[in-house]
Amino acid sequence: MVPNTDKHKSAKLKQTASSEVASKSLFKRKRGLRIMGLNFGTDGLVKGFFGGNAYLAILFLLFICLFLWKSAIGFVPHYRTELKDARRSGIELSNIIADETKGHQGIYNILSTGFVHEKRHSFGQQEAVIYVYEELEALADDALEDEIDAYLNLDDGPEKAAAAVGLKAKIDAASRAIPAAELLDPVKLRIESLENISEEVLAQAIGYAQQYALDDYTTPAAIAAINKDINSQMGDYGKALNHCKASAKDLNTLHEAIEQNALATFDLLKKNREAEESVKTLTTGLEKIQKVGTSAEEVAKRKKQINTAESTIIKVDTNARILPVYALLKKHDATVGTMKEELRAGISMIPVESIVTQEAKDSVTLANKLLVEFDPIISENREILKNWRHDEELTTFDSLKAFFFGSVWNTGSSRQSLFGILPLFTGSLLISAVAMCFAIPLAVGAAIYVNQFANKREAGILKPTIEFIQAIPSVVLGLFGVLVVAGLLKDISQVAWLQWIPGFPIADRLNVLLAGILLAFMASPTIFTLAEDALNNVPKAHAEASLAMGANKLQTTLKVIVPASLSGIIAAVMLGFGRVIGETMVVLLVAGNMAKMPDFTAGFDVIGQSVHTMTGIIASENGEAVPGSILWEGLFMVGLVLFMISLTINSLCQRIINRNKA
Amino acid sequence: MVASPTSQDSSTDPALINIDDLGFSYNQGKTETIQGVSLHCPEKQVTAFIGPSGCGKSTLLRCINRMNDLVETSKITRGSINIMGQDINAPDVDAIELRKQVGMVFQKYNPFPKSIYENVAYGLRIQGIKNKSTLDEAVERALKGAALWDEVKDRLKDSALGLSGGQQQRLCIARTTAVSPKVILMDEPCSALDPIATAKVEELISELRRDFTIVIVTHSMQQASRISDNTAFFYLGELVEYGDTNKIFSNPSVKQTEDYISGRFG
Repeated sequence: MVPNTDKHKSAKLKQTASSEVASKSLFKRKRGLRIMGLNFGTDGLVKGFFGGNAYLAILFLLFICLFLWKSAIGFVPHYRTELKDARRSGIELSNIIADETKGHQGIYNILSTGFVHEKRHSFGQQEAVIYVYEELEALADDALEDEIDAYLNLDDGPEKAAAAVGLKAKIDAASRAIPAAELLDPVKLRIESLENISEEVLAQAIGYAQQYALDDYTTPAAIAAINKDINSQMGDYGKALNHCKASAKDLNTLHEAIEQNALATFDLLKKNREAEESVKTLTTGLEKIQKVGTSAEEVAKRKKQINTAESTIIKVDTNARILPVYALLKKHDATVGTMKEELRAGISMIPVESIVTQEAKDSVTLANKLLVEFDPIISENREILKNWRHDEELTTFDSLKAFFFGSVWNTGSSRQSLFGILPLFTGSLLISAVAMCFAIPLAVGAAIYVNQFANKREAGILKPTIEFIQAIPSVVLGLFGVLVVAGLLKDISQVAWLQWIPGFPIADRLNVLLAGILLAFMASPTIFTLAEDALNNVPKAHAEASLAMGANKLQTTLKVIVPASLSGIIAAVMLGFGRVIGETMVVLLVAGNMAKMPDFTAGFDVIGQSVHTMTGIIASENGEAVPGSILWEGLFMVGLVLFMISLTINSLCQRIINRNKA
Repeated sequence: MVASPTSQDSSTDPALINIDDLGFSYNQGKTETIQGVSLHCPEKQVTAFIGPSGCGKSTLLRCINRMNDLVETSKITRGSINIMGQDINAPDVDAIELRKQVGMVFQKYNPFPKSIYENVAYGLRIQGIKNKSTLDEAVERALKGAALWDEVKDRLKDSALGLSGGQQQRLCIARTTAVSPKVILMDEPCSALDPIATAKVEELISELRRDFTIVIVTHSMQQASRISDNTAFFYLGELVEYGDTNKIFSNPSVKQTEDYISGRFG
C-alpha cells in the first residue's frame, strides 16, 4: 500500500516538472538584439520610434521656450542701458520739450486747415486755376529737371550756347505737350480735393502753364496777380496765422539746440558701447585660439586689432557735456510762456467775424479749446523739468515699465530706440476685438443653424463648406483683402446713406476694421467646428424633454441646448480669439502697420485707423535685427508676450472644457 | 375590434384616449412597427403597457404626444388617436399645443442643467409666464405634488444635477405636472432607479392618478400589477390582450399573455 502511494506520488511529481518545462519554453521571452543593455527587438524598435518622436517634439518645445526666455531676458538690462544713455545725454529731456513743440504744431495745423478751407471757399475758381497750374508746372519741371540741372552746371562757352538751343526746343515741345490727356489725368487725380475741375479752369491753367514753360520758367503775371489778390483779401487772417506759427520760433530754436547737444553725446555713447562690444568679442576670440594654440604672428595680429578697437573708445564725460543743456534749460520756462502767450495773441488776432465758412470758424473754436487743455500740460512739464536730473538712477523695473507701458515703438531712428509694446498690444487687441464682434455671431449662429435647424442634406453641404475656409492660406486671404476688400470697404464707407454705421467713413485704406473682418472670416471655421461639437455633445434627452413639454424648436435651442453647451461655446470662442491674436500674415498685409497709439479720442472711428500688431512687428522688423542686438532681443520679448497670451488662452480653454466634462 | 377594459369603472370613467386601429411605421410605411392597435385609456386611471422588448409599446406611447414626429421617416399608416374627442394627427392640430396637454416622463431622468427651480418653471416660462409669484406658486405646487418639496425647498437655486437619481426623476415628473397637462406619459420611469427610489416614484404615481390620466410603459410586471388599473399586453407590434389589471394578472384570456406573465418567455 505504502510503496504504491510513493510510486504514485513520484509519477505525479514528474508530470508537474515536465509541464513546467513545457510552459517555460512556450512563454519564454525571445531574446532580441541587445546593445548596451537595451533591448532592440522588433517591439523595442517600434516603441522607440514612436516614443522618440513624442519626446523629440517635447525637446523642441523646451528648446524654443528656453531660447525665447534667454533672448527676452537679455532685453531688459540692454534696454535699461539704452534708456540710461538717453537720459545721460539729454535726449529724454529733449523729448519732453518736443511734446510742447508738437502740441503747438498740432494747434497750428488745425488753424491752417481752417484757413485753407476758407481760402478755397472765397477764391475757389482762382484757387483751382492755381492748383492745376502748379501741378502742371511741377510735371513740366519734373520732365526736364535733369536736363536743366545739367545745363546750369555747364561752363560758359559755345557748348552751353548749343545746349541752350537744344533745351529751348525741348521746353517748347514739353509745353505744347501739356494739354495732352495723358498728362491731365494724373493731374486731376492728384488734385482729388477739387473733384470736378471745370473745363474753363482747366483751359485757363493750361494756358498759364504753357506760358510758364515758354517764358523760361518764370511765374506768369496772372498767377502772381491772383496770389496778390487772395493775399489782400485774406491778409489779416494770414497774418494772424503767421503770428501763430512764429510764436514757437524761440521754443523750436531752444529745442533744436538741446536736441543737437543731446544727439551728439548719445552718438558718442553709442559708438563707445559698440567699440566695447567689439573689444570684448575680439578678446574672447583671442583667448579661444590661444587655448588651441596658434602662431605668434596670428596672436600679434589679433592683439593689434584689439588695440585699434580700444583706441576708438573715447572717455565721455556726460556730466560735463550736459552742462550746456542745463544752461539752455534755464531759459525754457520763460520761452514756453512766451510761446503760449504769443499763440493766444495770434489766435485772437484772427478776424472771426469776417470768416465765412463754418469749417474755419470751427477750427478757431477747436484751437481755443486745445489751447486751454495745453495749459496743464505745460505746467506739468515745467514741474518735471525742474526736477529732472541727467544722472538719476534707472532701475530694471523702469526698463520693464518702459517696455510694457511705453506708448512709442520706434526702432529705426538715429536717436535712441523706443520699445513701447503698448501701441502694438492695443492694435492686436483692437483688431481681435473687432474680429470677434463679427466672428462670434457668424460662427456660433452658423453652428446653431447647422446643428439644430438644417436638415441632413443641408448640413452635409454647409458643414464641410464652412470648414473648407480653413484651407485658404492666410497670405492669399491677406492679398485678397489688400487688393480687393480694402478699396471696396473704403468706397462703401463713403456711401451717404450708410453714414449711420459707427466708424464710417473710415480714415485709412488699410485699417482695423478691414483686418478685423478678414480675421473674423479666418477664425470662423475654428469657432464653428468647436461650437458645433459643443452643441452636439448636449444629450438628446434634454431636447426631447423640452419638446415633450410643448416647447418649440427655437425655444428648445435657445433655452436648453445653447445654455447647456455654453461653456463649450465659450471655449470655442476663446480658441478663435487665440487664433486671431496670433495671426500674422493677414494683419501684416491689411492692418496698415503704423506703430502709433490708436487715437481713442476719435471714439468709434478708431476702427478706421491704421495700426500695427505684435505679430506684424516681428514679421516686419526681423530682417533688420542683428543677432544679439537690442532690436533682436526686443522682438523676442514681444514674442514672449504673445506666447504668454496664447498660453493663458489655451489653458483657460482647457480648464473650461475639462470642467465641463467632469 | 376594439378592446376595452372589462372593469366596471370604464363605464363611469369616459375614455380620454381612444386609439383606433392604429398602424405606425418608422420607414415611410415599408414595415409597420405597430399593427392595428385599438384601445381606450380611461380618464384619471393608470394604464400600463407591458410586453417584451421591441413589441412597440414605447413607440405607441410616443405616438400619443407625437414625439415620433421628430423621426423624419416616421408615418402613421392607418387608424387614429383621439384625445378628448380630437384626432391628434389631423392637419390642423399643432403638435406643440398637443404636448402642452400630454406631458412625458422619460426612461432616463433628464433634468436640464439648470437650477431645480428653473427646471420646474421651464414649462411655464416657455408659455410666456413671467410673473414671479405665479411661477413661485406653480413651482411649489408641482414640487409638493411630486413629494419633493420638503427635500429641496432650501436649495431651489442649486443645480438639479446635484440631486440623487430618484430625486431627479421625481423632479422630471414635477416639471411635467407644473404645466397641468391632461395626460402624463411615462416611458419606463423606474428602470434607472434603485428599489427604494422606485417605491417612492410608484407611490407618487398612485397619488398623481387623482389629477392626471397616466399611461405608463414598464418592463416590470410586478410594477404594472402594483400601480395600474388597466394593462395592455403587446407582442410583435400587436395588442394581444387589454383589460383590467387584476384580470390580466390573475386570469388572462389569451395563452400568450399567460406565458409572458408567468415568465415562460419574454
